[in-house]
Amino acid sequence: MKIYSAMALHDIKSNQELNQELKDIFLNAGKMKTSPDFTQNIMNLIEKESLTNKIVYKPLISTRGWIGIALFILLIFITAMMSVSDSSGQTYEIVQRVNNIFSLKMPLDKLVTAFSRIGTHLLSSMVFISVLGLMGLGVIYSFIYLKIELLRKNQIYHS
Amino acid sequence: MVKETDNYLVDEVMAGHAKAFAVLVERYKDMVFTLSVSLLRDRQEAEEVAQDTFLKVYKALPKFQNKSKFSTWIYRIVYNESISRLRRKKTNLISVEDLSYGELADSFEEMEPEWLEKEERKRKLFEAISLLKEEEKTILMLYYFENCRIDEISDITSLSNENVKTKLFRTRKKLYSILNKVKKKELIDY
Repeated sequence: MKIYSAMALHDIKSNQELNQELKDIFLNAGKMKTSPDFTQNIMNLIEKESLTNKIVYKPLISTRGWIGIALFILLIFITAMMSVSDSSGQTYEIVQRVNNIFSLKMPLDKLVTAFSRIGTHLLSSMVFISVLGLMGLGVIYSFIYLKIELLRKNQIYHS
Repeated sequence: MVKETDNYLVDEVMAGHAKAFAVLVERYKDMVFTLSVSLLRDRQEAEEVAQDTFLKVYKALPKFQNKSKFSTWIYRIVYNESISRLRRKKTNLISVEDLSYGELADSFEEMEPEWLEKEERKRKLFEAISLLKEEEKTILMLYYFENCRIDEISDITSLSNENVKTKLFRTRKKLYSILNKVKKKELIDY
């Protein structure tokens, strides 16, 4: 046997009356209550979550990397210096040349020549250009990535 | 004290004021829990679902674009979460049509005849609601507790407006019938 008969019920009460009566029943009964510390628990979880999701800045190029790059540039510099010849065509000694680089006595015209040689040397080096390009791309990529990530995190988590 | 709108609070949270989220939790926790507990019929699990819902909402706030009401959005999340848990559990739910009056009466036999007591009324109402199908429960609670419009209920339950209207019409009678029978039985017993 079915526990209710829609048709019979409809005869007794109009839909509107029924609606009103149920409204009162729901209003009087009220909603279910969560445990007292419900909100606090959620806020604690959010706090925990935001802490674990804090951005840890990790440099794209480590200190060792920078040392490597510096050595690489120094090597190119020295190589370029070594290739600089004097007017008589004699090649300078490496020690002498390095001394000249760090010497205040080094004549300006020689310094200009040295730098122009370095420029020519570097520009003609495909390896160096490629490394420089890759480094540039890496810096641009990391900058964009960090910017987006920071924006996203700032929107979600409080500092 | 002026009550901040949901959208204002959402903007505050997005601006980094996480405490504004606590206000939203306070505002919606009871309804979220009520929906969940009536669907799952397990307080502990329902509280877990309610908690997960709020965490999910918090994480997804940047995606919330004010296209729908915040309440509609959160109710849809808790409804879907509860339904998917229910499916995972594969709980053998009993539909009211499957119960005979005798069985129904037996399920209320332990109740005391203090119909007017608020907590008792609440308990009886939820016991009666528990005999309905998931969609029916959700529709009734959203309609009567939250005064949700038909289109909002339709949005939450993914049912068409017409379907919601029909189900609301039928479920209203069904619930009233259950409550009426219980009440009558208690009066006789009393």
